[in-house]
Amino acid sequence: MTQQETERAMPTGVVLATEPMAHDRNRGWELLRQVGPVFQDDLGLYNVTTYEGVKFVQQNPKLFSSQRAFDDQGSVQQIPLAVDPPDHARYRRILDPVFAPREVNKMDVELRRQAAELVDAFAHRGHCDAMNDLAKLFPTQVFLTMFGLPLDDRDKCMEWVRTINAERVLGTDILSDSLVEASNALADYSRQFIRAKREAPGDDLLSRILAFEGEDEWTEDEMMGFVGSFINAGLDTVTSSLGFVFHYLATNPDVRRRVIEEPELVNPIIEEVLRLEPVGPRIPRVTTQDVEVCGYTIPANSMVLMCLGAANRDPERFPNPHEVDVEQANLGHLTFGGGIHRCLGSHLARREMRIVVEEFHRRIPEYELAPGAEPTIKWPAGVVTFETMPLVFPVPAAP
Amino acid sequence: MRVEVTERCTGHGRCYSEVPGLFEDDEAGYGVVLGDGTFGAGDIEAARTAVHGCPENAVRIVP
Ligand code: HEM
Ligand code: SF4
Repeated sequence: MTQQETERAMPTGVVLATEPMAHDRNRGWELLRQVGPVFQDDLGLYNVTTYEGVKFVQQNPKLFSSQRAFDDQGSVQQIPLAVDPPDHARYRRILDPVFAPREVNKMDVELRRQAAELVDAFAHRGHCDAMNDLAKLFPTQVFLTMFGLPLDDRDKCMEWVRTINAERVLGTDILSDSLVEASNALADYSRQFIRAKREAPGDDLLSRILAFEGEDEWTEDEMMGFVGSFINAGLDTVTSSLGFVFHYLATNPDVRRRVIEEPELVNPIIEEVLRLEPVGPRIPRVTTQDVEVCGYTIPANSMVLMCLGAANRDPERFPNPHEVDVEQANLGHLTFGGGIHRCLGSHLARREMRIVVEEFHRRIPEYELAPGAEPTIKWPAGVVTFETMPLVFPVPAAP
Repeated sequence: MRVEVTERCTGHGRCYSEVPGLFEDDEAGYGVVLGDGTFGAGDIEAARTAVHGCPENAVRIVP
């Protein structure tokens, strides 16, 4: 690092909590983008806001450690989320084929059946809460299905995860009693079913991973770490993303009608909503040495946050940054991250979302937000989400 | 001309989802070219779509 490179003064003390994110993410992210490519927020954390800057962080895992960024979240290391090179590759070599599109295809029929069942439960009612009646339930069912666990465990798993996520504070070591309690309960539950599957393997993902032998064999702690990653990264994320998609479709009836008429638009619309609403809005890393990003020097041992919502609105990459525009759907947004930690569940998540939207529309093509409903998010948060989204729709005539 | 997937690929799957005429997924969900990746003049736009859509800059067009 030369003196010259450190000359550009980095904005500091940027207050995140006052951003208008709760109602208007376009304005919120744009304000942050305009602060600069790199800035320090009011907690002293370094934020990166450009597409190229975020990619640089993602693609240099030796300079930006995940292990150090995620190691405050409980006692078991999250695998592969919190693993740095070179160990990371060993896990992904095993996991990638399990989460590949070909595997996701095999689950399509069963997952569709489950989504249909959830929608059928309220389709005759004329109203539903898209979050509580559907978007929160489905991803947990997918997790249980993939792990060969009973769907009856759904509600207790959801409650543990809810507590853990609600009480975790990014960038601090504060652990509340109820958080510790929920973490322990979830860990006990996981340890039990891992042991049960080891003894009596089934035809599920868990049993598949447990079947590896020799140098590919996983210890119980590694299995626990993977279960932790799936639960932490694969439930709320899909729930929240579904919320954003339904919000968009409920408030843009013309687009929705087009999507129903032209089913091939479902994927591009989902991609564009994913781009605008990255549910893990700021993904953390810790620098392993002094490192220059976009001309600014970030010192060693600093927490760096990749601002995906800002990068996904970078006009250098996206010509129409603030709008859902299917023409941009193939321009490679960063909502699923990138580099070696590219979301393991991205193919699954995309399929889950498509299935839920399609099965919903099949039964309920016309719907809108309930009068007076104005879904908002809490900000800042590790995972941003609507908690509730009341929808109303005409009741289909009795068959 | 030919398309190529380099070792930068981390399996986002944009190439084979958006341009199934030139790419497919392997069993780990990573992108591979169909055949030897050769394409005709009519597919240049498709090839470019894959290049621009890959978040890892892993797709290349080579002469
Ligand atoms: C729309 C839904 C989802 C979004 C937006 C999302 C987003 C992300 C992002 C941004 C990362 C990168 C984190 C980082 O770089 O540190 C990631 C990693 C990960 N995601 Fe997802 N995710 C979603 C769904 C899922 C699902 C359904 C699973 C189920 C298995 C999953 C499992 C994982 C795992 C295991 C990792 C860690 C990968 C690694 O470190 O190698 N995600 N996800
Ligand atoms: S889009 Fe890029 S990263 Fe994704 S599979 Fe294709 S080549 Fe690989």
